[in-house]
Amino acid sequence: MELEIQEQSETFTRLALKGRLDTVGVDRIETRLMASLAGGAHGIVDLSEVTFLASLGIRLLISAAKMLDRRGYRLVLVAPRPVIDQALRHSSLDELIPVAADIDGALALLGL
Amino acid sequence: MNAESSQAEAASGDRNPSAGTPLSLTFRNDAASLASARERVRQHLHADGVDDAANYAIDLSLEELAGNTLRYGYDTEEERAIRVDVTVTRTAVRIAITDDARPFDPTLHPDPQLPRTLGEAPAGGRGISMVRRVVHAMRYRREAGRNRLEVDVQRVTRPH
Repeated sequence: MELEIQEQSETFTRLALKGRLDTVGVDRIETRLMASLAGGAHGIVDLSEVTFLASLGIRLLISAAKMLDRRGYRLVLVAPRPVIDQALRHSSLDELIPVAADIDGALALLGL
Repeated sequence: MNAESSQAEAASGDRNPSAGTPLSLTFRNDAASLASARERVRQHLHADGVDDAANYAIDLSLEELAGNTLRYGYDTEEERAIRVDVTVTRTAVRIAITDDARPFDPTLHPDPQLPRTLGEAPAGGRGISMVRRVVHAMRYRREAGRNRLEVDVQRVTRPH
């Protein structure tokens, strides 16, 4: 599981995740993901290279979204593959965290 | 006990070429051993020509159900063995997970309530319901001090 910080500005932080977001994957990136989104800006997480999403991955994304929500910011997920999009729907995560098709859609959802 | 041991047994009975070879794995109750076992099962199913959706559903079942066992099933850190038996037929994949953890029947575990807002949403507790959405059947029984959980996933068959 890899995490890449692609862009950091005053208004948003954009991350890309790559690999399997399961028990082992979450353990590898959790601390860094939470820290990188804690800087006082909206969060955009690119899921296009995520190939597996387990409940611990869902828990990590919800924890990140809740942290941002408490500080007045939002988390947007971007470009999940069909199998990941299905997992988001099966866990009802798509009703709690907005999902955009691409970065432009994510920025529009954030009003940027 | 070794980190992981496996035994592939010769297929018997069903001679259809699209049916697969049974696989049995025994792994320790820790996250790294479960990850290795899942990788072995994924490779086995891929080699048997099982479609990606069925392979994903089996992988998710092992991650969530065996993961629950090693996270919550034991009172001590003592090393224990979890066994997985994989059977591939022309139409389905079946796994049977056997362990000596405390009794737990995931088929009776209720789905979580849908939260109205992010603030109300519990972070966890979605694993079993996610598995239910992608498998065809789950059966549980407790026998001889062991949990035995069977999971069936339908294979996608393409018309010739």
